[in-house]
Amino acid sequence: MTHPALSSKVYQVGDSLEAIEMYYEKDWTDGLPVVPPTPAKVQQFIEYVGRRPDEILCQVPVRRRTVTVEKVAINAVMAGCLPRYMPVIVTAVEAMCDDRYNLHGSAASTGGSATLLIVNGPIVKELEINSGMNLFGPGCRANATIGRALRLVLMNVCGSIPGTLDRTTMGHPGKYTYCIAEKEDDSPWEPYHVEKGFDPDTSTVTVMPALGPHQIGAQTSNTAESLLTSFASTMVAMSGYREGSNWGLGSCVIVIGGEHRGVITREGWDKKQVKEFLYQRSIRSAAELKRWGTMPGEMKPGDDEKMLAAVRSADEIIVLAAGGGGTWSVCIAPWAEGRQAGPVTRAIAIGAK
Amino acid sequence: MSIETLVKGLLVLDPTTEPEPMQATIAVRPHTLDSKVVGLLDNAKPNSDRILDMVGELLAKKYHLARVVKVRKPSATRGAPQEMLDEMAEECNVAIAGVGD
Repeated sequence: MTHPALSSKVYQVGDSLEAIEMYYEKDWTDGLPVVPPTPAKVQQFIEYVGRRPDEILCQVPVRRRTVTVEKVAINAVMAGCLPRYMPVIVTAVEAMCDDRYNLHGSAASTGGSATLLIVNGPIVKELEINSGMNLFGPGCRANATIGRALRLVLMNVCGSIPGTLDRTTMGHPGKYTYCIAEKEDDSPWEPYHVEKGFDPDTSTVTVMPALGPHQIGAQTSNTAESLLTSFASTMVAMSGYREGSNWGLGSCVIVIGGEHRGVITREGWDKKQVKEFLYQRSIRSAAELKRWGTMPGEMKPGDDEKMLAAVRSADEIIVLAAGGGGTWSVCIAPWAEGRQAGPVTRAIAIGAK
Repeated sequence: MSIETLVKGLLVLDPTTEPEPMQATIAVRPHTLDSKVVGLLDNAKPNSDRILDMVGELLAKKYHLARVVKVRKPSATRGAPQEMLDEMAEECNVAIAGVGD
């Protein structure tokens, strides 16, 4: 049975509770209960973005899968989204199909990445996406459900089922949801999307295959230099140093919390200085990295003089102002040391295309 | 009248898709590797070149191969580029691929 306006198979159940159990039985959930996607609800989500249900947003050639507006809407309803979240979700799905994102590789890898979403621009306030306290934690519908919708699309539409096309060894809780926003109105620096050439009034979403957020509690660093040195040390520990990387697309994300931003801006550092300092302080000799076991390979003559940084350039470090007050920041490493994939930023179009 | 009013209970939609089917034919298998060109496709994971080199050496001991052609994918996490596969198909009689890690 199908619906006249939609092409997905229709199932008939007694009520919502029965539907929730049916989705569990069919392995159509991430392990949490879903909102039953009724045709009326799904149509409401599709209408919000003004796109045709059968419009193709993304193709994953290796998996021979096609992602349509209809399937994204169904999974967004299931995730608990509101229709007005759809423009972010649809744009994020399109961005994930950019070759630079490497959807198949990053979603299948033992490396266990999740899709980190960074939202910028006026839409952050419009959708009430949390950019402050408890940034990566629970309690905000937009953050919780937008990220979850993308995970359900990966699982149900792209075939990223653990044990088959998702071969993750460990993974991290961001695989349930991993959606944050930049706190642009409480930042001394230009927002990330403006750095990337977008207008401040344009809303954007950035997707990046990323490992989990590592919290850095620099409680007593009260100068920019000491604070950023501790961040750089975390980058060193979390980064993979390799010679002759074959793609080198990746970014490392540093999310700087409220009090840390205060320390850094009190000394007048701009974002460029912050990035350059982090880059310089992440440089280590090949010999040191090999002694740590951070870099593979036998020790070779000249390793003491061979210097490597955690990322290819200072510009590859994404510095975000976000999170609540308190002396905490976060470092997020890219999947596969950033050699195989990188961040993709797209403007969010609202309404008919 | 909408479809919802025609039935009792609740209608819900299938969130999944199936992979699109693809038709392919399997190349004819040779009876012997004598005088054949053998292609080795390295998936670019660490040490995959070593194990493939060993495979090449073992085959060369067992058969009178015309030659061995070694090809390395540019990325371990992406499929081999079509041109690379086309060139292998052109040059080799048989090819060996595998996942090394």
